[in-house]
Amino acid sequence: MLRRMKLGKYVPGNSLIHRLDPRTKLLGGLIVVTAILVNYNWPVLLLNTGLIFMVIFLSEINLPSVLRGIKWLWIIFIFSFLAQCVYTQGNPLFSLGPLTVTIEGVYRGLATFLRLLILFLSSTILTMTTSPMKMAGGLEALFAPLTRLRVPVNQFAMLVTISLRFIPTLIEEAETVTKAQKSRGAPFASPKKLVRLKTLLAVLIPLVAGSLQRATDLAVAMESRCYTGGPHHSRTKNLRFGRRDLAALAITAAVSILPLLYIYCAALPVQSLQNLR
Amino acid sequence: MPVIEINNLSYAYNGGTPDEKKVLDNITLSVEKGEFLGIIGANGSGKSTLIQHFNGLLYPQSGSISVLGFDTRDKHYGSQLWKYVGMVFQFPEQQIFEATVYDELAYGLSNMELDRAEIEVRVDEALANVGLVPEQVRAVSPLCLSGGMRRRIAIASILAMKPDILVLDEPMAGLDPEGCAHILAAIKRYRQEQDVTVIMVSHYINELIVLSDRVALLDNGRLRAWGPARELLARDDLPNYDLLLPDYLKLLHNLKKRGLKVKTGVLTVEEAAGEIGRVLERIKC
Repeated sequence: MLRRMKLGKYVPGNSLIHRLDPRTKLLGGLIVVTAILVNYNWPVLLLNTGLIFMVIFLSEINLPSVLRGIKWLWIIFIFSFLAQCVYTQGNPLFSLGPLTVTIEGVYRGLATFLRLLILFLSSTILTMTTSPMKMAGGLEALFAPLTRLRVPVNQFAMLVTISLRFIPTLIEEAETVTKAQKSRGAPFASPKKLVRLKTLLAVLIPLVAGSLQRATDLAVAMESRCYTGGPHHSRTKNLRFGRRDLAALAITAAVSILPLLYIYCAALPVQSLQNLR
Repeated sequence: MPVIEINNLSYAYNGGTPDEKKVLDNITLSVEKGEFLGIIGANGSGKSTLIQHFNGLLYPQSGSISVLGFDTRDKHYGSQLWKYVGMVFQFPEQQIFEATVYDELAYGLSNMELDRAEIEVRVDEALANVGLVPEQVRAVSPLCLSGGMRRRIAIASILAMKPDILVLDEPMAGLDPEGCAHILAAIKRYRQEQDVTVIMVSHYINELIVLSDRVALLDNGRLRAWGPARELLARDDLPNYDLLLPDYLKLLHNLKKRGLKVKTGVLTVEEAAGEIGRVLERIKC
């Protein structure tokens, strides 16, 4: 289970998608997801699916390995497809005992499958091509207007950065502690529920104790480097505004507008089609 | 008779994904009963992955490993292996979870389904072995103790299980000299009393070479050398493997590189001093 969680892990690279501004990717992903959630007409679904696969191609991520890595998700995909096939009312296609598969059901099932696939792939690609630091910087910039409403956006961004930073560490530590307790005969596969619960505690307690210790250390380390929770102290801010390089920005802007335009064009017919209805 | 036999063992993390990384590459090695095997190598050389094969936490992806005469991939045997192979992980104090020192040490023992009286005897024995006074610490919460003490308690919790093979991964990393001395003494004492096989991974090469009967050198997942410490240290390619060699060994290797005829296969500072003295004599003549 823990190994699979590493699927969305950032894969360092230098592809077109990697170099995009995190805000572009966040907004782009949001637009795609919104488009397929509000509407599942064929043009929308197919265009968005095409877009996602184009982005994967451009991000130089090994697609077959990503699809192979989500074995357990395929079960959900196939199950929801089958459920839609059977439970949708409409013109029957064929019957299998008490179950009747309808043409509408097959269409709906396919649509659901594509929507789930797009949801999954777009978020995976976002995290696989955006480093956690960049992601937090992008979120901070996008939520910046909320500072006027006295929402502590900077602190929130720091919170997100720190949590993202420690997820791999925690996973690694959980693996090690699990192995260490297994080496002392911890009955992880015991048939008794209470024993299994106690065994789980043998992993959770060291993890929580370790995290608290680490949080204390980190707080001291941050304070000793003059962190007071205000803006302009985080590294991402400095990266973006301090070392602004005009040439690099121009290229990034040009590159990021293209997929946005593409998404906008794809989303346009959705609106008009809905209006027609 | 070898207690551990490894044949052409290979292992890769994340096989079949974009992050596939080969950590162990075709390793063949055996450990005799009662032997002290030292394992050295730079960070990421595969040491920790290798030792996790010894008690069935990891299974070989290709090749084979048999421990105490049986293949670890045997399902019924592999899951019982923890009783015979004690594994002390790096920073073992992280695994402590019970409310008292006694319960912490008793955890593995009660999983072995020993009776209460036996557990009590073994807990006291193990605490004494790591240089703690059982009456003082038994009822204390481990979280109140210092890092060095917690490390000793974690090691004691493995020693109490009296494994035939004791595997230690960097047992002294990050400890003060006194803590190191306690742990080394505990390992030596356990070895004498029980006649067990010990396998130890360490960056403290000067300590390791004195203790070890044989030393294995890992580099990028490959076994580069394996044999008695003196033979291993005599190798001219030793400085190429990013090891934290003790200063006296670095000095001897440098002297040899400059063309002086010195033996580099020495274990202690005293031996190194003798060797340098001998060479100086010869130059004067």
